[in-house]
Amino acid sequence: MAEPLLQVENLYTQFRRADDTVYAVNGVSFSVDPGEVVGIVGESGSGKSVSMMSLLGLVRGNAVVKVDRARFKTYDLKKLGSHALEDIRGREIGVVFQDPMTSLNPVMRVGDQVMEAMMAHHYATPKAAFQRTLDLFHEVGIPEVVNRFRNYPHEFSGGMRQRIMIAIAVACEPELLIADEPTTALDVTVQMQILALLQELKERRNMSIMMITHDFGVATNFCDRIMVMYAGQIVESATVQDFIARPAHPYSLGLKASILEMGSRNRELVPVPGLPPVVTRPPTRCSFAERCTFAIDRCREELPALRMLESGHLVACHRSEEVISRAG
Amino acid sequence: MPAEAEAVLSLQNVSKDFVVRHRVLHAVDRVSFDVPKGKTVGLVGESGSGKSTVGRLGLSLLPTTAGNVYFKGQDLTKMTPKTIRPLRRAMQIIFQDPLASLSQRMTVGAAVFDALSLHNIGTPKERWKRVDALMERVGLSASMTQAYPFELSGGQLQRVGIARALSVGPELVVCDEPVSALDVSIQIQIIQLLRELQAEMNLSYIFISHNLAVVEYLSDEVVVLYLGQVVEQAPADQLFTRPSHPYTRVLIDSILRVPKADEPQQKLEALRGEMPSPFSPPSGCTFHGRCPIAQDICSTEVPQLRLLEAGHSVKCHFAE
Repeated sequence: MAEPLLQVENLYTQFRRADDTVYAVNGVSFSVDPGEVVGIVGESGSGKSVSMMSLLGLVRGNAVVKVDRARFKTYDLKKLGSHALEDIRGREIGVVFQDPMTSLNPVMRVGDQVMEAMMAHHYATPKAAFQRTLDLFHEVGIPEVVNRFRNYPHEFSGGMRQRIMIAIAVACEPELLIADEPTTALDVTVQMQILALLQELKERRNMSIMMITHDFGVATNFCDRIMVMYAGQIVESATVQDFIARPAHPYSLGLKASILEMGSRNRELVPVPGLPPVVTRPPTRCSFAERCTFAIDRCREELPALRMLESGHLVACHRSEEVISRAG
Repeated sequence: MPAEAEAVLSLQNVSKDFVVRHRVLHAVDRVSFDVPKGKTVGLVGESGSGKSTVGRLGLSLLPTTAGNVYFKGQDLTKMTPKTIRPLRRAMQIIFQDPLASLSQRMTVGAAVFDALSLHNIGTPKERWKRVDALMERVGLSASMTQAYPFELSGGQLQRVGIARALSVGPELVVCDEPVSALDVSIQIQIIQLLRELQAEMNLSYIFISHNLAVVEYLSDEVVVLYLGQVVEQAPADQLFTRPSHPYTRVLIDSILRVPKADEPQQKLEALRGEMPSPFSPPSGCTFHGRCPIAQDICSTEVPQLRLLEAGHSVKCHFAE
């Protein structure tokens, strides 16, 4: 088997606040293979963005990040200083955020911003960067590339701005693209365009993508594998096929039952009761226990570890066998 | 006079132009529909389709350029702000971002109280009693009455927004993307709450959303808007099972559904192009440049909104 592109073991992120500490990421381990598309799914506050941003060194000053192992290609992300990390970020790992308006510079021509991405990483000379920017604009579907090069971000629609963000993210031919809710703010038709574009870019470059999303429709149709996060932990990780056919964590089951899809008209919707917790103490028990219909005493006493259910299907639940048999 | 007497709200050929830097933008172009008592009309379309503007015109929060808006038989377009004011109690709105629509310096309980004071409902003591009852009804604990907006989650704030809108006893509520900013599991909770309250209080809703699944779930009748014009209008079950306008089909096909256990992943196929600029809409059918079935006639001749079957109209030369 090929070496994974990214390998993370036991990632912890805590935010120190005036009178307490928020345990945002609590022991997250995963790996991403070359060319693989992984979806990280969860609700707001589940730690899906924070865990990725922790690896990239993009968390705020009050954050404490600890990790046993964080290897990307041959780099040890743990040992890299902020400068070296900055060079990898944007060059070998591209990042696309939800809101392109806040990530693009409003007073700089978009073409210059794409060129800057390449020049800052010494990826291309100014002349080569200019030509490549035109090619990239063409590739990501921006019409009239020469004229549009000189426009400012506010002169573009939301979908077009996201295309520019993607052009910047892939400008230096990264091997990994981290996309944080890239289509959440967009119309369904534009969402489809952006996802189709990402899929095309991925296939052309054999790039790996980590897609952070709360939308199961996006995750199950775009990704190869899905990791579900809850309260700062990965509670389930499976191929899309396994995840659909045999969800093994009660939270995955609950989320799936509460998806409002076309054709739900005469269906009774079952929301997951309660709210996700804000974790202000290191978890010592299952964080989902109080919302869980499968919970037994053991769940309230012992933190379930991520264990292998079958090849490639991991779950952090004491009761997964019961969950699967009930669902099946 | 409105066509049907039982309609709480009736829009008839309503248009709205905005003038932006000396250029005229037809934001809403001859839109007509009725909102019957206790029913929900869903408005769908992409950003810029004019759906929110239609909602505001329906509540007379914006003056119309042309057309009539009847609220319980009274033409709001012929009334002054002063004469409309007593009707405002009966017409409320819930916004997408409840944090932006609540004062940061007021507890959420006071915000609901304020709505009651504004309309001179009850004595202060009665108002507080009503605030507590409402907060409980929308699923917030009594202690949250004293909380400030920043202390609550998005779902809790939306419950406050609902409590505030319903406090004055409305008959018509415009829900403008009320769940779009919320997590999926919270969306379901809010949607169920809206549905329960509608049944309890016999409310009429105009439900504005770009999320077709939510609209399908809640609406009795659906109006599809494209560049300010109605392109299809039908009872919800008909529209979603037999969509006939190519744009409606594109919208429905753009939704990514979780595949069934034995199904392959959905193919990611995108609609061509972007929504044209509303300042210079295309000739003929405004959708022709992006339409998968467009013919020559579509770029020259404007299709009329025509009746396909009872209650189902479509604005397309080729729809059947």
